[in-house]
Amino acid sequence: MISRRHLIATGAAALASAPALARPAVVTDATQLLPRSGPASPRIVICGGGWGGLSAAKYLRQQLPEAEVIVIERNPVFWSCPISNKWLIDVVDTNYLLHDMFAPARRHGYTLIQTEITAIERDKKLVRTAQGRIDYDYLILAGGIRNAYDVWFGDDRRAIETTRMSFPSAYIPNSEHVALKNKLKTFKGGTMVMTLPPPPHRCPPSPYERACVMAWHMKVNKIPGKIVILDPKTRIMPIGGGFRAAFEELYPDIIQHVPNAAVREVDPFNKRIKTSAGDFDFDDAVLMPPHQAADMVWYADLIAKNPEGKPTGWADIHPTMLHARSDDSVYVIGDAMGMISPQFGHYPKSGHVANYVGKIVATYLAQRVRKQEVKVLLPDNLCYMLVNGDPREAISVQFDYELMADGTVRQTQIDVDIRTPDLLEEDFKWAQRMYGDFLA
Amino acid sequence: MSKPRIWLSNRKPAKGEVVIVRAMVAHPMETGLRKQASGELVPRNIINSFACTLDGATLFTWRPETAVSPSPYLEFRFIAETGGELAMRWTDDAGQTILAQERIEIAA
Amino acid sequence: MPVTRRETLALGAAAAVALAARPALARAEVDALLKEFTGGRPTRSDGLSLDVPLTADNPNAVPVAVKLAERFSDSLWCEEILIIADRNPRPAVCRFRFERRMGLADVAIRVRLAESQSVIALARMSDGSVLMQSKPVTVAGGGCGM
Repeated sequence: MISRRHLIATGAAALASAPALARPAVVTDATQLLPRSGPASPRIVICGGGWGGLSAAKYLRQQLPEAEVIVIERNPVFWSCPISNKWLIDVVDTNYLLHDMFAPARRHGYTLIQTEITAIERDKKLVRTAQGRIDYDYLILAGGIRNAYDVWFGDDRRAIETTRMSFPSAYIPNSEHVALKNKLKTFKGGTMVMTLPPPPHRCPPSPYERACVMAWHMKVNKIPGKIVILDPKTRIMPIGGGFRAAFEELYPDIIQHVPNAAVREVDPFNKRIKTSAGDFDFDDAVLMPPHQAADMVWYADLIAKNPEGKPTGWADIHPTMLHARSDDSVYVIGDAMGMISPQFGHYPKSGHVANYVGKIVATYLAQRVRKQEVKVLLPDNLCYMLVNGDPREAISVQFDYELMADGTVRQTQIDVDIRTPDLLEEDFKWAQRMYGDFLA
Repeated sequence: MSKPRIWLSNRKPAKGEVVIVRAMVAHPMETGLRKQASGELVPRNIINSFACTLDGATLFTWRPETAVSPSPYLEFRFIAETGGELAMRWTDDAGQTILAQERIEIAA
Repeated sequence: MPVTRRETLALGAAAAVALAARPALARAEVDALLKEFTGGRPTRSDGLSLDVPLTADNPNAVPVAVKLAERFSDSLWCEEILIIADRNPRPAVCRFRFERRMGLADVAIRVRLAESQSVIALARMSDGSVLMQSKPVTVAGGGCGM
């Protein structure tokens, strides 16, 4: 048995004479992912380098330059889920979605480490990763969502992996988006079923946008296919009017929207789904399982409970201060955030909100470290949905939030149901503004 | 002045075809019931009238009250018997107007 | 009309809150509106359709569609449509006045609802007859995040 310390010492000695002998260190419970760097204080660890995490990192470095900011992200490159539906039909190319994460890290002076979070020990202010432990003064959990396949399949790993490989959901950046695009490009016809996650879920209008772009592909390429949208909601929302008009006017023979279709049973081997609106056989499918807060929020034991004591699946946070109710040294931002208001429930789980909340939490933390009063800030939200491929026309929804006298947050929603080309142009301007904000 | 958002099902309809029009303008539709932080009521300012003409002749008028949503959405249908300019004019309490014009041509 | 998007949205939310008052006054106003529009004549419902969602997830913009089944003819057309939200503090929602050349009456708008209530649509024809439809709406919180 060789201790890690010994191994490093040997390695260091060897390095001087024979660098070829260097090897990966064995990771133990005591392995440090990154020792503290001198006097930099406080140390803020951000778990997740997506829209929220990278935005928080940038603005923390700007507003609290004395802090050491470390982002831990498991993905090797940045893949943008926003705009990815447009990429399915080549409205943008892959370079539009794929981004370098090192450039913003260098520019703003935070450290980006690629590794997987394996545990969070809040009593020790410690995050464990596949490459060692890292302690923090403040922790920001920005892990987005997990695909809760276990809601459908329990611990049947074979069913889960078969579903993921054959009928990918493509709501988390990984191979699923590429697989979905290939699926669409090689689809020869038949029934394509889409299961929508029950609300709340990531990017609420986007499954309908995906149905539109896939239907458009089938229409222009004369593929004899049908898309059956199995929707657990009573009707299409948000932008229900705009989507319904698109379904009926542009894809009347292709898209069938089935409301009240909560998934009861999925059989990926025999291609069959049972729902509360009937049973459906399919030739191919996009099976979107329920969404929940990312695993790291569960590891941190910060999942909210409903009045019956069951986990809601989402983080238990203070609705305006945004830290965990039970631990004010931990913030949860982005899609993993739980209930904000009884009026509207959750903030829309969108890149726009994650970016905005990342900035807000950076401001809050800077105020706290400086012992200043923390003033409530609220996000807004904006999304554009492509419904027609030629001419390229989009619809849109806008949300704004207002702090009421009793401290609750109130939402105003305006659907822009009229499909026009200028909304797609606005979408691209929005995306460039966003990428330019946290990825440049 | 905000640019109206207009969608027409067909700018070159056949004679007798039903044309669908969707129109939306950005407007706060301030009801006059809302109090400012100071406690004073915010004065009412809503779009109180809308008129639609085709080739100079009125098709219909619309009179919204305060219950009509902010950034009002309006969808209507008409039967295309003649071509010409489809003009839509929104007017608010402050007397400001927004005009949208779309050319309709009857297909031969 | 120089209002920014943020202002537009914020104003809407506040207005919806302010609307939530005075249902009793509304009742008298609804009766007055009905009397004025129908001239006291009996109404019928055939031929008029009113489309309103059973539950409104966004009470600030509830879709309301009113349609007359028959197209206009030279002898009979729809002169006016009145839409009422019977428990809003100001129940009159809007009026449409049609010319014969419109050819049909088929309109859709978005309405702010202060609470759960009925939406009423009335259509007065050129012969003085009046059609009426009414639909209940449950106002719930909701939207994108629910």
